[in-house]
Amino acid sequence: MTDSHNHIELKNPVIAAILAFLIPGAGHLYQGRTFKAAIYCFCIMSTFFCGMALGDWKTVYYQSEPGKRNLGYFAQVGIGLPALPALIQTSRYNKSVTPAKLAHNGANAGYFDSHPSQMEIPLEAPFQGTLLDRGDDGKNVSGQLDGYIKLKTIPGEFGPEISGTFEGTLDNKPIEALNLSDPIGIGLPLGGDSQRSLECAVIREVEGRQIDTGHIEGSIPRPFLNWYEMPLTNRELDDVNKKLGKRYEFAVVFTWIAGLLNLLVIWDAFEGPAYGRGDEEEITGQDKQPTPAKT
Amino acid sequence: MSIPLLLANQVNAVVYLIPLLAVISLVYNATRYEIPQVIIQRSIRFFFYALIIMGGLMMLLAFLSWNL
Repeated sequence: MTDSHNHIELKNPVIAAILAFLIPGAGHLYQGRTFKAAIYCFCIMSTFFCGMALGDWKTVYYQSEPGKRNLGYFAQVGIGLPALPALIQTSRYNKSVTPAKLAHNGANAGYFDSHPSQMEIPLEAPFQGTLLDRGDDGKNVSGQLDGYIKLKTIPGEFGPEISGTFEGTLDNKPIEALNLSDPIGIGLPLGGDSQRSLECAVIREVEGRQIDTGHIEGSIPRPFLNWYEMPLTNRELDDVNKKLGKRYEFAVVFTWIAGLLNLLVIWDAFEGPAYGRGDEEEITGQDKQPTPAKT
Repeated sequence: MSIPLLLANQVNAVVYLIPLLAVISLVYNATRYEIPQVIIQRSIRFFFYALIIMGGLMMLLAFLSWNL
């Protein structure tokens, strides 16, 4: 520690360093160094969250599986609280996605699981997607669906079956409710994307019998806590790279730099500025003023 | 995709580096010194030096890859 640090009140450096780790600038605020606290908080947080936004909120996650581990997270976690939820999310994800389930669904197949017992039925959610169906008059019907989906379990001939309806619009025009049925495929409740894939069959009554005439394919939203900083599957990572291209890499670098800059900030909170207050040259200059020559 | 994100896709990637460099120079110099005026002066100097050096390197690389 240099002599100049005597001018700076660091209070309890350990507490300051811990606060600085948790929230950039909080350690300096605790020490009463408000100007620096404002600089650190604004610059580092804005860099981090700009990176998150530029990367479609998929830049920060921790993948702990061997072979898929992302070391970049260790740079991002330097920012503290904003990146720490990724560890909790990874733990939740690993409990939810067991190796057996991965093997069953295929690691890169979008984790579809059509077994009714795995699904949260009854389910009601906004739905956006596409319809591919054959209408009552035998003509093909297709277009963009936007509306609300409701699924429930009903007793069937061979055990419980899933049934449901879609209500909403087709290409922005209101349509009659579509009747939905098995087979139903739905993405896992936890995932890196804010949207969860869903597809199921459309059935119509033809000559007194329920016949599978087409299917709908799209997505329902995931709750915020089920996708924020959640590990990405290979498919989700490919999708985000395809969608954002080079911008995704820039976004990731932004979050790395934010985390690494906070390491300097933590050290500054603990030890004080590297070169001192910055006025040493002036003081030294004043000291070196020539003294009047003795006569 | 939202309009700001679409615009962000159109912008030349180099533009992202300028605010990033400003942030790095401000935070780096703030960890070196304590007095606000010194921090700002040093970070402005650091920013322009880094910009000139990076610009020079870019020009050099552009010159070396000319007609390749």
